[in-house]
Amino acid sequence: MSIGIIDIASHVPDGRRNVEAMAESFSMPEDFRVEKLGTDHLPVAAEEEDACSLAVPAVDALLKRNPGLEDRIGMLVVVTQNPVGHGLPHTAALLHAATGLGRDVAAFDLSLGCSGYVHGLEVVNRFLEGRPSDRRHGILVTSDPYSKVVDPTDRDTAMLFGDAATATLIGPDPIFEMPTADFMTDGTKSDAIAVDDGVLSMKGRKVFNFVMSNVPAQIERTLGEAGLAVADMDRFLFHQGSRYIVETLANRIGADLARTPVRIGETGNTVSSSIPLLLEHELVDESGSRLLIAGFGVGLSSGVGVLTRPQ
Amino acid sequence: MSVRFDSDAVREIIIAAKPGFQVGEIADGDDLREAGIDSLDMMTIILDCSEKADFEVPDEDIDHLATIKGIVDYFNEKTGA
Repeated sequence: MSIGIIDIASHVPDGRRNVEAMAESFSMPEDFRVEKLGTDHLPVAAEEEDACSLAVPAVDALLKRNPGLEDRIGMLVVVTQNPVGHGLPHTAALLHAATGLGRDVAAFDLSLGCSGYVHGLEVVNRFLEGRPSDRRHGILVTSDPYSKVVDPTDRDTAMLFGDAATATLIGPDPIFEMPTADFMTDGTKSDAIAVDDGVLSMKGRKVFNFVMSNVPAQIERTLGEAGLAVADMDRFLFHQGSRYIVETLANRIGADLARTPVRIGETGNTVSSSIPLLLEHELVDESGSRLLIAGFGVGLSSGVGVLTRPQ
Repeated sequence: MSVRFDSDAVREIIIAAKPGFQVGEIADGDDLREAGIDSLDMMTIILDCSEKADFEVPDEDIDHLATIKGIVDYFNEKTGA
């Protein structure tokens, strides 16, 4: 039986940082901000919010519009790198309690960043395939309040990251299934994105080189396994690291920029939430039936997947 | 066998990285950043040169790569071309 994406809900907090004002304080040229970063405002979670509370509205929305879902959920996975407290107990357990799910649920965290959604999809898909038919639905949550670790005076990160959470319902009779996926990690470059003493640092060039040197071949591999080519794809949903990284990756693989959405202006780089935020649109807009998703970042790691509407 | 860099090869890489850039209007010794190549464009240019030369540029060497001449000399020296 085919398992895949059925529904997606999201929550973007109301707080905002004005990137234009920040860029001015960093003496960054306006055209660089607009054409290269692509961010206008960054959503910021309230001080008292955490990875669990940020995700609750997204999960609640999913449960509300899918009546009776609580009784069919067999899995709750939270992708985050900013777990509540010190990660013990795990955020998925806290979210399980906060959303009132039943006890026949496997709940755990995945510690991944911008590649986390693709990894999470594969993990949940495969796990659910082995579950009893009455527990073959799962919720994949992405929730990463990066504002808690971003130094607002760090020019390399302060104008990029935004807070958001998403909840993806996965199960039988999906709208999109993921026939092929490919994953890679280069732990020798793990210092490229790291938190030290509670503050995020990023070596942009190292991340950029990793992505551009590896992900195009990974995309070719993933498409090839599905018997598809770049020209066959309706949409390229790349992790929204910055406008420049999305457009450069698209150019590298020969993807049509008109099929490669950049929606970073009002959300910024929302880490593992950026792909499901894009996918949310695709569930409403039915024009795309073959999508390529690619996430890359912390690890350094990357995940690429082909999503297709079942025939 | 090492790939030998010259000014034309680097100019082609610049144009590929920044379509529309008037590369013909700058001299080999002009500072690329002053001519309108920003830090992200430079990342792409250096990566493309690195892949062509099969040589990874360490961070501490980036400052040597401010001009077309600097890029040509650097890669030819590092790869023995």
